[in-house]
Amino acid sequence: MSIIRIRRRWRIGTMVLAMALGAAACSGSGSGDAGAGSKPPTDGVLTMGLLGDIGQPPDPDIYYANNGTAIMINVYEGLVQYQNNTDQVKIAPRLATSWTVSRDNSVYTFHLRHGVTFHDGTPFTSAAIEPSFQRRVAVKGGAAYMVAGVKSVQTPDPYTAVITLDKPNSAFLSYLASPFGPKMESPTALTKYAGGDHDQKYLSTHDVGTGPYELTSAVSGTKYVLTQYKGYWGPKSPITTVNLPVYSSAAPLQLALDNGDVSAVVAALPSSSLSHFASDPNVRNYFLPTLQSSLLTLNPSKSFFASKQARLAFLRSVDQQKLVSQVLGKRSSVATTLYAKGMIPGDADKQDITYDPSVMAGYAKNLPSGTTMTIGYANGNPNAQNIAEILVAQMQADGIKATAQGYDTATVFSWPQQPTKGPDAFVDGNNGPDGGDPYMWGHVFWDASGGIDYFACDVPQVDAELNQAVKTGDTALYVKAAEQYSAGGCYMNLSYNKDWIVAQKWLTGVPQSQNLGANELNFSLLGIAK
Amino acid sequence: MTGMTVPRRRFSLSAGEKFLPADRIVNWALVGVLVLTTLVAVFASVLAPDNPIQPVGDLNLPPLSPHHLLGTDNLGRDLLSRTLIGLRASWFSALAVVVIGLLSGGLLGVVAGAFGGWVDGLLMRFTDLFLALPGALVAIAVNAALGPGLIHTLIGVSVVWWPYYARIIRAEVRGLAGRPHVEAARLAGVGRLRLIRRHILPGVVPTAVVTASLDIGNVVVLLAGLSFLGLGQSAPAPELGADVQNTLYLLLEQWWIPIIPALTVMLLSLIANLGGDALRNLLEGDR
Repeated sequence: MSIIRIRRRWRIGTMVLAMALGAAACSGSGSGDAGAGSKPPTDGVLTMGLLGDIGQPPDPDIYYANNGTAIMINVYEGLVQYQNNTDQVKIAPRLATSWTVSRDNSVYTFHLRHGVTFHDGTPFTSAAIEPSFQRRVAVKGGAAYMVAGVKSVQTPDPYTAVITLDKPNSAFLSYLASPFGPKMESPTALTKYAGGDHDQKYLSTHDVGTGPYELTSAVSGTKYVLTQYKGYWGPKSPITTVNLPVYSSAAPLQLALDNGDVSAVVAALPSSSLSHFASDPNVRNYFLPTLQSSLLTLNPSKSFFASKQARLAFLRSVDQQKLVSQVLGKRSSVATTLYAKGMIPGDADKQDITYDPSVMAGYAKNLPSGTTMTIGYANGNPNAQNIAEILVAQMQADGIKATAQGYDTATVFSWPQQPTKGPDAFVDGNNGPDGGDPYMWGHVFWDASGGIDYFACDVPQVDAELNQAVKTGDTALYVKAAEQYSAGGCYMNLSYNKDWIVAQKWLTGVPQSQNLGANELNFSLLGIAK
Repeated sequence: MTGMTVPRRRFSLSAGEKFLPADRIVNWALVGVLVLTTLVAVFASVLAPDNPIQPVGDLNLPPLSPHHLLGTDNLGRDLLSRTLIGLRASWFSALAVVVIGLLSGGLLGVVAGAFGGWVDGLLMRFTDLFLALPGALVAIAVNAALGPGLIHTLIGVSVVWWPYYARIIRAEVRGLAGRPHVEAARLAGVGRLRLIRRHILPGVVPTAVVTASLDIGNVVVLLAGLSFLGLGQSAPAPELGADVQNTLYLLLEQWWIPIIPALTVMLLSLIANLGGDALRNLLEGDR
């Protein structure tokens, strides 16, 4: 190929790319108006748009990510769940109708629901609990820890199960209620499809649960389909089929919702779309409570924040009110507690950081000229990026050469092992614990062994207090641990984030089908207005 | 328009034809736009009405808002200021890559063309090796390996940009080497270095300049592409590609925020290409 041809290819290629950039930018410019919405479906088909694929197989013992929870909580059921339609952390019955807990939090006795069958027709009895727990341990998924402490499961009768733990754990009920918690799986099906991988291949496209829907199609990256289970023990929903098409980005998902092709979107649209849907008469907006927060974590392993004075000065310069109103909007509110909202009764875990930017400005004056610092955020999270950029602009105004830098997820999760490789601070746009017990928050975010203490900012005494509190459920001890950790200046709870759900006007029962632990809807509790 | 005969203006002429005055005016005007763009880039800091990093106004103001000609972005930063500073970064980065490519590739091409023989063969096989690589992908790989940052981006692109110049200039040198005036100089005992400096380089320079000017648009788009992929400067530095990427999610609501930097990239590329063509026309007309 001649040089001239190569050069022409470059020129043509680059011109096409330039035109594409312009055309891409122009393509959506006329679509700002709200669409016509959709009419109530007469065939019972609900279409819930997913932003991106669920990312992992829809296997209840493997799945440990985000939007696929919609499948988990509708196809499978655990013994308990979080109570729907409340902003308080309360455990509610599901396959267990009642339970008792021993005084030392080591023996949990469950009385099971009668008349429940798995999707393969096998009756649900206490005999299903142990195989379900054993499979979870065997496949070693991210949430296997929830049943790792189970010493024995006794079944005095088909509808009673006594679970004994190897040590006291007051968070065990929260483990069971978590959307990632152990789900009941048909022992017949588990045996039948075990293969050599503990049913993993089978469960990537099928299910073995008791939930109101069966997984009838799973095409990764394209679409998932749930079909109503005729033998479900609960009330019959008018929604007989749920399509879960995968959209690669927010813009086409929003257009599909506008056009009425999608019935509802759960926690997937950017904050910039809030005003668009707020004025759309064809949809309803719901802002429902979650255990999620936006968090700010400082890195004491880097020189900029090595001193506690610097960390506390920086945290005092963070204008939570401005960040929430400017970036997060109505889908969030300013966090005033150290744990997630509702975890500690009476909000006794008050976050005591008073906004005063002059402290940081004064500190910055004494820094050497040209001091640099970096605030990180997770790639693909525009809210986190915007928060980071606002904080960076503020630091630059104080004379610090600050930059904001995006990081991919794998890099972010490598920091606890190598905190010096991380940025000086990290904005986590949306994160939360697996469940609603304070231990699940404190252990994960504040204990270096918990997984998301990004920069291993660890206070051994706090770890010890958390480990003691989980045995007894002592709220005062949880509060004490939180206050001690906060005093170190590594952490700030920026905002309580809500599930922003946009639904066609005919879709009813949305708040009643949501709970703060799941971040997704129980489709069987939704209705269709005529 | 059917039935009407519109006299067509001639913007290109075959070899040997003289330029019409109108064509020369258009060509000079396009070169003028090229120069003007460079001047805007040089004085971007002066022309920018606000600090491009600090929030200075209400959020999401549309273009033609009071005090904000192009509006503001989702953080309240002046879009005109960000565009001007982003334009400067794109334009000078593109110039830097082209100059680096021209100098390094040109040197290689001149040596290969002037020395011939095994030197030519060795240098050209080395050049072919780089030409065989997918340029954009190699640039991305180098940039990704070095990490984000403007200098790293320039290194990544420069690594793949010189071989074209080496090939073109080597061919030009080989062509000139056979010309009578070069042959005469050689027979007169002129040394090799003097031969290159006095008799070959002057003939190569116009081709090199035209090639380089036509190349700026390509580099602008490639750099914007790398920046779009997150391989440019760190935020909140204004950078056209990154600004498009970072605000693409606003397309349906505040369309102007991603569109303005995208259009700026397109315009820069267009100006560079049209200006390069005009420069070529003018140089060919003068030859």
